[in-house]
Amino acid sequence: MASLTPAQSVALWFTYLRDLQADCGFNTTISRMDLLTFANAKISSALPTDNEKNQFIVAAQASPGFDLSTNDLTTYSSFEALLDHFNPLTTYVGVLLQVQSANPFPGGAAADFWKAPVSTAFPGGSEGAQWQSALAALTSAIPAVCFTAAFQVKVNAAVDSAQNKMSDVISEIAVLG
Amino acid sequence: MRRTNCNLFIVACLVAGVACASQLVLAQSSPISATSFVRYPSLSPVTAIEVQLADVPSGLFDAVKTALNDNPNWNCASPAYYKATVLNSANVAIRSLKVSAVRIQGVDPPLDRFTRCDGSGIPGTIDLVLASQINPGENVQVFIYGDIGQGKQIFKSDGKLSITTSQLFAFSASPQAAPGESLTNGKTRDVGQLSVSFSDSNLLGSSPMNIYAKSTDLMSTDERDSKSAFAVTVGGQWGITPRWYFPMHIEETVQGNQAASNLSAVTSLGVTTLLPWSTSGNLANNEVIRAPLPPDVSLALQYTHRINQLVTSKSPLLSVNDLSLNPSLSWSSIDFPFVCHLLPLQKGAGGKTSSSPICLGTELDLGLWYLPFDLTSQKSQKVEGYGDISILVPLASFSFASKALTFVTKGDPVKYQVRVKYADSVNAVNNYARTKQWTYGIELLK
Repeated sequence: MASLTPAQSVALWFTYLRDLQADCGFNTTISRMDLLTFANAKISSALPTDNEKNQFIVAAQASPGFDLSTNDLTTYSSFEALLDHFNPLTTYVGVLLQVQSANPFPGGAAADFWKAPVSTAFPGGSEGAQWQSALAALTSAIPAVCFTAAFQVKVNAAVDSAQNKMSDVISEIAVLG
Repeated sequence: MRRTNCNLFIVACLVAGVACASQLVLAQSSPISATSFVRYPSLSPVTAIEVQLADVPSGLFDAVKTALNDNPNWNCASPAYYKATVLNSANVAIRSLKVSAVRIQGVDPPLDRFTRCDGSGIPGTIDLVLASQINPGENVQVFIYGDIGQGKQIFKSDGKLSITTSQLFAFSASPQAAPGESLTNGKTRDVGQLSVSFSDSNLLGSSPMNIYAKSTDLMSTDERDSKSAFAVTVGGQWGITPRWYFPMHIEETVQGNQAASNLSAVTSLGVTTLLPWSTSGNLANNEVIRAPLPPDVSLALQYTHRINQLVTSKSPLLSVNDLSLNPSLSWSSIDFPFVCHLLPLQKGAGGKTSSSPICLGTELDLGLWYLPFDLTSQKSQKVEGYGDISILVPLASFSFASKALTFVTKGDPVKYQVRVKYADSVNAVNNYARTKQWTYGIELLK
């Protein structure tokens, strides 16, 4: 297998999210939702009976390829939380931002990057060239409905907040909106 | 375990009254957890340890990246790089667990599972499938190595992982004294009894279907003991189709009393599934009816052959052969959107209309018993239909609910609904006796 680029890793997360929505195809309300609404939909409402839970588990085994237990469907309230358990979006967003950040972070440990102040990783804040480049990469990797213009304003505010660390910005983006 | 730690951390943050969002993300939590799932279509139970390789706060993500940089042959899909040991209460390793396989979670689009890790957090999670049993109360520690000789450790868990698995094999035998036990001849006497139970939920480990066996017996020192009984069951279950949940089970039970003066063989077979509802289009999703979820359908067949029968004043002679066929359908989440427009809005305080109209939902259960060996008085084969229908009204539709029913709703009627149910039911255990019943109630919505 070829290594995925950071943007491809983020895009794969959303491919998996679409797969999970397709796995709920027997629920006509869920299958008509936009991706963001589906991400936040309650699993207990979407799959109320045992047969529906089991059908979802069978479909998810094939695509996106998760071996789910029925406990997973009660432990995680939303489909985003369920997917994050197997593939944490924060990690992939973090990797994408890390490669766009200022030196010395791109070659360093992810844990150190997460602890770094935003002002060090992205000097110039939301107006800086490096953040603008990171924002463009995020915009191309995340479906528009999950990364709206209004949400980007919120993310930019988090980037400009003096006391914030990179983990705050990463968490803000991974909430989706 | 992970969630508990996180909750404790949130409480600590709240008590301290500090901004701790970033610390919350970075709070070190264990990326190791336990899981049990059922493989489809074989329906075989699997117990595994989940390892979240993409977890940054625990350092595992960086450890995997380093392992791949140092050793390009490092492969997260190989059991050779993992070790799992059982610890005793003093945190001393008492034995190793056999990891039979590593299952990578996630497909490399379009459909093939990943076969190795690339160092960018893809795949995010792997499962270490265990071939050994873990006893209740034992903790497990997981080690990950950077080399196949397991000399260079790159990660170790905290050793606090407890795995609650359903026992694949279970056996118990309990002796007991039973003074004044009644006998089949109508007399009583003091006897000794031995209660024995056995079960194996997966007789053949790597079979394309799940084969199981179980037995529940009560042996007595007097073979005329009316409580003496045995029931031995062997069964199998599997999925009929690989991509659609359509499990089938077939089971044979031989049951009777200790002396086999009462002896019968029961064969049962059953299937259950969902209808492929995505093909329903607007048929069940329009302004008149909205049924987003498909009905559950199932079919159960049971054949009983009575080899010996012990006829007493309390147990009359039954027919030698009994056969029942029981198809059933259960359909929930049916709404009628047009009703919301038909029924008038509730009057609120000060004569103002409430913002929420009255809407109705419905749930439906239907089924029938077909009993070909059981003849009616007209000498025709017996068929007994049954069903129930529930009308559901959200309590929020009634403006008085938030004030008058606070002892029920705790002031939040949105989470409650009124159920009016009519059931015409047949009790298979009580010779298919029919009952008709109205029930009313307020229930909490999950």
